[in-house]
Amino acid sequence: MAFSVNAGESYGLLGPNGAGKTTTISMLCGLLQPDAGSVEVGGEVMRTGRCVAKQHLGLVPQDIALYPDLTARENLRFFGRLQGLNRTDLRTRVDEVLEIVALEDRAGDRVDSFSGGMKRRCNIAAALLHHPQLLVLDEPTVGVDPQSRASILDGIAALQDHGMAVLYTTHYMEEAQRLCDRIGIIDEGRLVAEGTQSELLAAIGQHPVVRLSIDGDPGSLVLALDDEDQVIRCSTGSGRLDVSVIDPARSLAPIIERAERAAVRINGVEVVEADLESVFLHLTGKALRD
Amino acid sequence: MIDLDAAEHESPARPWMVAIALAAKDVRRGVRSKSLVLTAVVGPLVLGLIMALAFGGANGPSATIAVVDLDATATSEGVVAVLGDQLSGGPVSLRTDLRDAEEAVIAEEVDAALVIPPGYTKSLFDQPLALQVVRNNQRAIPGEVATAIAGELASQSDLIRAATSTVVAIDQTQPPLADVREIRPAITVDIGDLQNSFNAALYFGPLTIFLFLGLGGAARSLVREEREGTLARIRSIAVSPRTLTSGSAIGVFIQGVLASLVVYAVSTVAFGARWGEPAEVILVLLALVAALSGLSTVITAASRTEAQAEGWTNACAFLFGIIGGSFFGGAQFPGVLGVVGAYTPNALAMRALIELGPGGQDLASVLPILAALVAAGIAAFAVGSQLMTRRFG
Repeated sequence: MAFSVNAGESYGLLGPNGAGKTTTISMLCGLLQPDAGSVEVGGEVMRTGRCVAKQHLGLVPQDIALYPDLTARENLRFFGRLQGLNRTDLRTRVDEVLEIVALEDRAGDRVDSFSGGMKRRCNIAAALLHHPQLLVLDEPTVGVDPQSRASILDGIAALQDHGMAVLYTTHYMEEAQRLCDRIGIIDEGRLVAEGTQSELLAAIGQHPVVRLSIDGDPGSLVLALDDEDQVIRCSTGSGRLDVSVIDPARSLAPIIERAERAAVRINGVEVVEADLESVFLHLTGKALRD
Repeated sequence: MIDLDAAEHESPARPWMVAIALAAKDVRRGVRSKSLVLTAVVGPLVLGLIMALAFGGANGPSATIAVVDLDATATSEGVVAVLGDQLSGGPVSLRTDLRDAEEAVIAEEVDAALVIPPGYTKSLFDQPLALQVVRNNQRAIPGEVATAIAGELASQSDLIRAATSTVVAIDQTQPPLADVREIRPAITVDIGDLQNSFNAALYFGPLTIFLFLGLGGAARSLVREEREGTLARIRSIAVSPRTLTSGSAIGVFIQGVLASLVVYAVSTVAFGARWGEPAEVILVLLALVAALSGLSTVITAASRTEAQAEGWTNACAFLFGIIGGSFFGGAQFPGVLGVVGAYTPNALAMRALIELGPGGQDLASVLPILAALVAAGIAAFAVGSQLMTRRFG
């Protein structure tokens, strides 16, 4: 398995349970020594124990890795001290990350009084204290309500905008689709595919579909689209024509033009994106939540 | 490989600062959960009070010391008379036969016996003779009282010997033995002061047992942190296993010191317990807690589950507590168990307290004991640290 994450990039690591996501993350974060190979973060070799590479990295574990009987501020101050923040920086930085995760009003409350979403946000905040170059998030939205999930995803997107690299594992395909610039799919400890969402979909022959509701003979339109570069294939149904295309945005105008020429009236247009679920199923033979 | 452009980052925390932060967190959580208050303060005090009420009250045990006069001279009779005067506040039992005295000590009719050997009077003009003390390991404090009296008598005898030697040197004549009738060693041992200088065994025992029980706190905390994920976060930060071990040991040390000081202060102020000179007592307690803190790192490194931590902790508490005499007010087992038990941290600390109190020794004389306790703590820490490194890389 070999992959890299660049500054400002979000990399999604997808795999079914038992695929090796957590083991991979454990090695990335210096919790587990690899049998072979190496991990470098910011040019420094990652090892278990004390090493410079760990200073570049912030880990958001899958569990709520906070002390429930301490307040949010006490938790953050503790982890900040471990990161080497001095007294002044610590105070400032704790306030900043509390603001980032929108918990400044609850800073003095014990973590065990928080909702699941608030705990998750505080869990992320603890990894941001030392301005890591790489943020590793292991299923950070498990058990979170939709509102909190949206808030968490927005926050992560904002971190990317500030140049932070993000490595993200999730069971939620829509999160990976929304958040990740590139995606790696692992199964049984191997990286079976890697690329942008479009590249992965294309690699397995999955393309977006322009679904047309039509009056008239779809056959004439199929013929008309035969030599269109953007069109991959067509399939017909009752009053419907599904056109698989490379890029929906660039293919819509030629399709409408060809339909007019073929005297086919278009009553409605819908773009159906292919999703990663099908990619995943194709590559691993398993559903993501298996 | 994760490939990132180098960017500014914080400097790594110094290991000792990390260790202190880890320890402070453990203490804060202990105080907040009230577990520290219950196991380290309330528990020992309540158990101590129960034991005090059950075994003779808070004033502690009294000493009955036999004096065996095997010299049977006018001088030795004078010594016995002086002792009788000095020990007027405490019970004294005069014996004339050593075997009789030994049997009385074994049967616990008396707590200890001071033996004035045959030839004692002659020794005042010649080579010194060793004074013998018959002790019962079950009765450490009276034994120390008798030893202190013997020590005082020996030093007074040395003074007499020096004075008579000078007279002999000037006159070149040997004073007739009949004249020694006039020699009365000026023994100034106050047995009441001695035996009352330390009556806190009933609090010290429970304190040590609860200190032992507190050893597993760090281990349980680590196992819980491993399960809940906070350990993974800590380990993903630049924290070495050695620093983790140090933090754990410092946390146990702080909690132990806190518990010791509270038990010492409360038992003294509220229950009238007498531990000895405060500075000396505190040094002994610090040395004991240092030894136990080192031991706690071994338990922490060896425990993979909370049940294991509990098991190791209980085993240590009861094993050390029983053979070290903490369950029975300083009483020790006979034979091999007694020898082994005498070198447990709790027994060593008890010995130091008794030597400083009833034994009338100064701090310098118990420094080897304190050094042994600290050395044991450091050695145990080294083992625990090595085990932690092996466990977490």
